[in-house]
Amino acid sequence: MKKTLIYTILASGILTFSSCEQKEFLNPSAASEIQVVNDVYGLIALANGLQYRYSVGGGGVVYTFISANGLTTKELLVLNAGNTDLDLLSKGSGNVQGSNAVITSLWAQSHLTKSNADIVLKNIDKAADPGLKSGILAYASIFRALALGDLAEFWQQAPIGTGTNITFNSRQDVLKEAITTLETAAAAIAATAPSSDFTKLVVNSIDMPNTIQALIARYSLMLADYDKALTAANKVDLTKKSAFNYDDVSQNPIFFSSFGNRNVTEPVSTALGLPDALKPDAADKRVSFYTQTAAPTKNLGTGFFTANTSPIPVYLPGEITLIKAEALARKGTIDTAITELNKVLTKTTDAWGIGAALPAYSGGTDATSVLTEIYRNRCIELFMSGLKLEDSRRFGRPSTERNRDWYPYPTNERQNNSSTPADPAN
Amino acid sequence: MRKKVYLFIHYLRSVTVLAVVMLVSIQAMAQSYAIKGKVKDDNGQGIPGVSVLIKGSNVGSVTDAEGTYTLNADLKPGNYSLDFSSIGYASLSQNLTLGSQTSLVVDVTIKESVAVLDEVVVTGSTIKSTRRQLGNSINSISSKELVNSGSANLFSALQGKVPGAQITQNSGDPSGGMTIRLRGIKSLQGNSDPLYVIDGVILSNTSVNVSQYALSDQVGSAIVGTNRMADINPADIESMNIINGAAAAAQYGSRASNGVVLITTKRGKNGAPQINFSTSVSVNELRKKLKISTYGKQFGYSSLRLGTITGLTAAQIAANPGTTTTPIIRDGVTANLATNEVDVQRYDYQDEIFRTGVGTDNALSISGGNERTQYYASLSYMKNQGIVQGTDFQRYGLRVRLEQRLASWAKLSTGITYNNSFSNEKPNGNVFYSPINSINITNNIYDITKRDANGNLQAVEPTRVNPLTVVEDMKFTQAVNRTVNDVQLNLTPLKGLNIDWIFGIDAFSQLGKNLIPPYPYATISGLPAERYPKGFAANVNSTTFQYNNDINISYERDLTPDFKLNVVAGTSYQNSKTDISAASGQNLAPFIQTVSGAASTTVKANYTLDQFDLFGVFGQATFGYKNLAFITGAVRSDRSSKFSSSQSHQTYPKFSASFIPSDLDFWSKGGLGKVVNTAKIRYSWGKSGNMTGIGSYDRFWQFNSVPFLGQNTILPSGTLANQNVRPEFMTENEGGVDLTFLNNKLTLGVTAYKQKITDLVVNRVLAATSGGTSAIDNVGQMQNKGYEVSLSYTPIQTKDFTWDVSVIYSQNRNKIIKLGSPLILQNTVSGAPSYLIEGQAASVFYGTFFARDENGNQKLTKDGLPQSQKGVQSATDPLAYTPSPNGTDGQFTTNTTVRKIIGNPNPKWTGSFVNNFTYKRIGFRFLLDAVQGMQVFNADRRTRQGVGIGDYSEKELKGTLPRGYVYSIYNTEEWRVDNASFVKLREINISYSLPNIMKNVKNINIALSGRNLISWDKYDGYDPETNAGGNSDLLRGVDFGNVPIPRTYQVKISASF
Repeated sequence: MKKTLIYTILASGILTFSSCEQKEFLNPSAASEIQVVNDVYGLIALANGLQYRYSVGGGGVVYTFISANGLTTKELLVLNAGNTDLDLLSKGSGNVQGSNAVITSLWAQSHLTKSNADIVLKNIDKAADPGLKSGILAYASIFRALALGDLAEFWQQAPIGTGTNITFNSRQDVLKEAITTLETAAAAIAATAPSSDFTKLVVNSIDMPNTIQALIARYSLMLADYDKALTAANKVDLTKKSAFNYDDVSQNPIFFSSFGNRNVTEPVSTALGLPDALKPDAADKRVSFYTQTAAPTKNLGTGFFTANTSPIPVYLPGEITLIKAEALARKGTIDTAITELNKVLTKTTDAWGIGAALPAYSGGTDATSVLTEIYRNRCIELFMSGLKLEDSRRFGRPSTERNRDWYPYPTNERQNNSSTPADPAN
Repeated sequence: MRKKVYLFIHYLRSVTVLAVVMLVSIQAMAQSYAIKGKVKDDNGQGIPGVSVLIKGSNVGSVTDAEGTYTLNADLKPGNYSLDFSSIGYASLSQNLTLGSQTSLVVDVTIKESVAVLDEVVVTGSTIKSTRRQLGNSINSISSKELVNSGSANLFSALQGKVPGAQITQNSGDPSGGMTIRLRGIKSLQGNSDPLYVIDGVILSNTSVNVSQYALSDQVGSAIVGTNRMADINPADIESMNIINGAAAAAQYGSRASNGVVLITTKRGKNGAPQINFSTSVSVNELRKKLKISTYGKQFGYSSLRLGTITGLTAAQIAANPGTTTTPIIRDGVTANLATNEVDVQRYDYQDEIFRTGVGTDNALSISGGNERTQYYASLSYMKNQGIVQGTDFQRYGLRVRLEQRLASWAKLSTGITYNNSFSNEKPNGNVFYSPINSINITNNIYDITKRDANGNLQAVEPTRVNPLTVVEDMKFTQAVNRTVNDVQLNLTPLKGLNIDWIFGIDAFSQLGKNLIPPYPYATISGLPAERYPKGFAANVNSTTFQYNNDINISYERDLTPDFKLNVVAGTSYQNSKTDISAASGQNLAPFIQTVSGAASTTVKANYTLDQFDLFGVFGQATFGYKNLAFITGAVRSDRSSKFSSSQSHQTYPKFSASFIPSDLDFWSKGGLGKVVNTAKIRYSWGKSGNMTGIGSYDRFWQFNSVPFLGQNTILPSGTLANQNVRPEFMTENEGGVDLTFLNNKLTLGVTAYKQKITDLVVNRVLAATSGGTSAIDNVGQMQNKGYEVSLSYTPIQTKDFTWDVSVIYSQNRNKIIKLGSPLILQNTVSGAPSYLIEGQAASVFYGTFFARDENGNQKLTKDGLPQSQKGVQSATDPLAYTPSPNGTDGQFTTNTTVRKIIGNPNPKWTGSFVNNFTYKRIGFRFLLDAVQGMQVFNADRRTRQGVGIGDYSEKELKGTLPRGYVYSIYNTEEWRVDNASFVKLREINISYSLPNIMKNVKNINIALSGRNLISWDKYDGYDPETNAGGNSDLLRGVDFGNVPIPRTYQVKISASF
């Protein structure tokens, strides 16, 4: 018996010592960077991930830029002061600090969208098939440009690159970089159209050729490059829709968090954030598209935020027409500007179902009056599309119409990036 | 009077020498002697299991259940020494003269002593030592201290008994989690839980959230769930040894950096079968009700929400004629607050949510055995109702322990336990549809008990959930099956050599069912999506399998009469695996209560696997000199699969020494020995590491899959990783003295320690422009410094009456020395500004505070209301700021607020006081537990004021506070920090031992206990002992919807057969 016991001990000893080698346990529910970027289907999945990060969730870019912009430009008000960070945004000025969770999220997720897109673009050559490669390139480029454009709208400076203590670029450089990215993408899909294999594997709610041109038009206008804006705007097919899609699991973030109840935010009034002098005409059908007064217990706002599954437009046909109008007006050709403006005023519907159904413009034909009317229509047509802060600055609107000009830099950035510039005065 | 044990040991030596000399010189013939007798304790009760040995021979036995022993020895006549020893009792040596009488009766009485130097303590699964030799402080808890605590939860039963341990009950839920921290927190990314070992099996204490799945993504960094030590029944425990410092447990090395709790369960003893039975009934009630306003008025108009703090718009004033307002300025912004009041009827919803719960705890055990085989079997059943309607916890347990001697040099020991527990729960406090928070967040002007014709509950305030829906309709349950088993083989092939092999398994499965039925009033109330208006169901399954395999070899030898050597070496391997699969969905079909009824477009399913293993070898040597001085040195080498192979192997040395000057001649024989009876000085230094201090995959940058519109979507994690992350390293210095005075009636132990943790793993904040928002990296350093004092005194000890007192005092100062970023915010939904700040203790509250003038008085606004301090915060030092300059009117000229440290949830000191009287058959005991110098962020207090149901909003309505007061303090975080120091009557207990009235029934004992009866504190919420962060180490001291700890009364009867 002694032998048996001793052998048992020895056996267990061997068992134990054989386990002294280092083991590596990997997570079967996740993948590593090397695995994903070296596989073309991994790159496509990452491309979808860009849209997910950008458009889904209360921390995503779409929710934060629509809400922050809406509160800063008095489109929206806060219903329950317990939503502290949103409430501080609605009060503006010194109440908005670098610690605000909403603008921190907007900054962080925009930068992560940009750096994740950079990973895809850096490894684009791993896609051997040209139809897949051009599709992935265009998809990633669109989100890179969207992220850069958002940063340039709300901050005076932002880094284009990714790294530790990375230097900041001026917003003009950021916008130029966005446009360059988009032009490269446009060239790529013009050379090789994305194959149907590609469109079957992505979410495919974004019309890539038209979105690229629409964004080039948008950002060129912000840079005051009116010719480029016009050229790009003219290339956009206004009958096509380009959207961020949602479902019951990845819900429309504005509806899910705000408009599905009356506890967070809602539009200030049916004046859609405009001062009395500019408030919408009584017959303007767009007011009833964006708001509802029939059920007072429900949120005042509707628009593209009426259900978990409501898609949110990436750009609106109305925006393109108004870009053309503004570019023409600023270049001095007022007549053609008014023609474009009337297209927006008189349309009864469009691809997204928005139509003012108003009579043609009959106001002053000087540049100032026309530009004011264009601004007014941008505020109504593009209500809650997150562009109003840029418009308010660009049209030189009085500072009473917005409660901040620029956002401060998030505290997380300032404390961990020595290149962060000083905060703007307002 | 207590026997002077130490003097006996000296006598022992001289007697032994004399006996040997006499034996050698006489050279008489060996004769057969029969020695028998009874070993009794102070009460005259026989003590089973006492080892009886004739020193110098191998004649020995163990007392039976009655305490009697019989020895048959063939020895030469002469003087011998008869030694009696048992764990928990002072060893005793009795002179034994073997002469012409061959039949002897020797009866002795041995005394209990827990702090005595020669008491045997457990420092590893099979590694034992005596207190004399141990260079570390060790705390022993015997089963007697656990038995009348009034609680069926092991951690509750330990509260107030362990110096240096902060044991917090996070929630009053019967299945709520408890947190035990020895000497502060040691890790930011990992757990600061100590290692729990029961009979050599390493136990898992993790909290996997299966029953609160609905809110798993709504609670931030709070850890929700019961920690699994709730499955262990305190009645099964014989003794516990708790080692606070890292240096003592050589066997567990890397996992012991947070301390070790070694639990030994009851086992059988030689003798006739003994049956023990106990049953108890307990009652739980709410100790303190909150002040909820029932004053029948509110501001503005009856449908105005949050009227206390909401500025009215022109449209609202126009729509409600009769509304008057006043402008109040806060931080540069004006709000028009309503001033007119309307009549409303208010209700106190606490009456509907709370109830008095009852509980029962029953245990039956049978044990016995003979010389070769001992067994112990027990069965237990416990059920406890919580004070919130619909909550309870029940537990069945079965244990069998068998010990079989295979040969004189081999023994087999095996234990099998099975536990089944089930809890009915309500949503965790961190969401607004939990029982407590649904009261805090809802204006109490609705009659929540009204039902429609079909018996459905009605809507209350828009967007809010009816509190009765929470307690009646929501169902969250958790069922756990757990088995903890061990097999041990102990071999003693040669004299002084022990080889032990232990194999242990801890396996459990948790099944959680979550149901929120569709609300009948979802549309009318406009319930937001977070409340799952159309219903929610989830089923979550978690299975954990953990095993450990240890081999220990120890050898003891006297090198010379003065030098003793004790060597231990061993190896241990541990492997753990947890599989979690979950399915959830919303929009439930009518009457269907599981995820089967969820709308298919809302169904989500996922699977997680967590797996790791650890391996280590160690060697330890102890030299003893004349039983006076001991030096121990040890080395341990570990590796863990959580780290990459280049970083994983680490070596940890240890050193400790102990010296007993009171055994020196000049001390023991001189006057000093009469004042200080015994003195022991000890010191230890050791390094240990935290081999499980990061997640199993934290060193990888994870690319995760997310469900997105039916397409494959991969999202790189925002947390960047570092392949070369290293384990944390802790160096501890500990020193102390143990003294006894007044003929060993007064014992004093003092320990001071300093722990420094380097290579602290931090989930540090990154600038988003670096490609991620956080990263796991070894950039931190932390330290804990403190001391522990324990004092016990027996002023009176007579045959009939004993009075003893003990006091414990502990103090720990935690400080984060380096963090990698100046500060890191803990993610919480409670609004608590809990931060990790470099240079401060962990988890301090850092937020806005009241502006004060040079005299410390509040600096008021022009309206005479308090305001926050304004200024500019320093960009480099988060604690520094430049105050805003004053204008000509004395008011601030800017409106940006600044922040400073406004509270600290780490207590300045903790202590407890135990007083025990025994008179003949009656015992009376109470335990006072004190925690002082800590603050709690009372998030609920402000919520109630804003909603209009609190005491301050009532004062505003009545006019005793100026209008706008609540609005002014609303954004000042300092207002929400409360003093949470408390002294609680933790336990109080009266017991009576009945005389033997029935044949064969002994030890009949009736006890009346109370737990958490009174709390002396200045806290403005339910209970200052609370944490919404659950078992989180980093988010502490937050009160946000927590269920308060109940007051419990218990009656218990126990008997033996």
